[in-house]
Amino acid sequence: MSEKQNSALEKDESLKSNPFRVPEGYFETFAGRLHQRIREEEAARIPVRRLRSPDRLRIAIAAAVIVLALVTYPLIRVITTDESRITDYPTLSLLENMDLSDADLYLLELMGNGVAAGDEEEVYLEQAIQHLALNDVELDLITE
Amino acid sequence: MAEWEDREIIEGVSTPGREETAFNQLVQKYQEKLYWHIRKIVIDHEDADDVLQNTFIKIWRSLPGFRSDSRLFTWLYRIATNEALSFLKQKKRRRTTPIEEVEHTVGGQLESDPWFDGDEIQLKLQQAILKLPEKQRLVFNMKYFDGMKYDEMAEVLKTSVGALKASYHHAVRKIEAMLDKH
Repeated sequence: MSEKQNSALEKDESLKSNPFRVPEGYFETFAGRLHQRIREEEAARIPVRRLRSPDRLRIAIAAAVIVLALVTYPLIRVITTDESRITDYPTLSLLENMDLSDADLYLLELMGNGVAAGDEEEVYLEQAIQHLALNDVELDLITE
Repeated sequence: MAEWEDREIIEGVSTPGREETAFNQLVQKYQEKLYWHIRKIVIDHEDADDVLQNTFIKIWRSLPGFRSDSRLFTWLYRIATNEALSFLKQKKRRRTTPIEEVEHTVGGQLESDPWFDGDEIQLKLQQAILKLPEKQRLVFNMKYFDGMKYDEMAEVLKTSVGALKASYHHAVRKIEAMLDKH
């Protein structure tokens, strides 16, 4: 059974007439009201001062410098902090509790003060270990 | 003053010093078509007036960017449709009644609406249309009342012709069933 091309609804032309209406003169006055509203909205918009190109460039550079400083400052702090040196000598607290001679204590002090970074510290540490070993200090405690 | 062709309107809005004149011509040419399209979606006259103004303001701001690869009137219809649907969504959000009851409430208010002049069967038809899903309502109104072709509707609604035909067919069946019940 083939389907009807046009249903009863589609055939009834009276139903297609517009049942809605508008106030008298609505369309005649619409354009005037619209333009009034556009003028009011544009007047109410806060004007944004457009920066000239050189100003924009200066502000962009300044902003980039600030961002760079904020990002690198924490990194710089981590690299230059004193606490990092002390952690190189986990055995210091153990050594300090031992009954050591003045020479030993002097070496400990050198190690604890972190006299120099990098290779010099290793040299001092090596010398300290050798000296303590010569004086029969338990090396296991030093080298843990 | 003779009505401008769409081509003249488009040329006018991109010509310095002629934008306002061209826009005025556009408003005169399309205000009624767009108003009735919007009115069938939002039903209430005051709401339709708000949405129509919003639509033309959006058109005024977007005209410089209008590309001639789509037809002017389908572009205008698309803006009007989107504004009307956004308006309904906002209205539903502001109400405390559940969404599915909003259309029922609007349908009930039609009877006492001073800007509704239909007879009993036309009232029942509008109430039946209001019960359709949103997209189906749009398709039905555009085809049944506005007599739009499917390819024009496809441009406005960004849907395939096949989907639109199916949607319209279902809408007609549902409305007939609802009218038969009464």
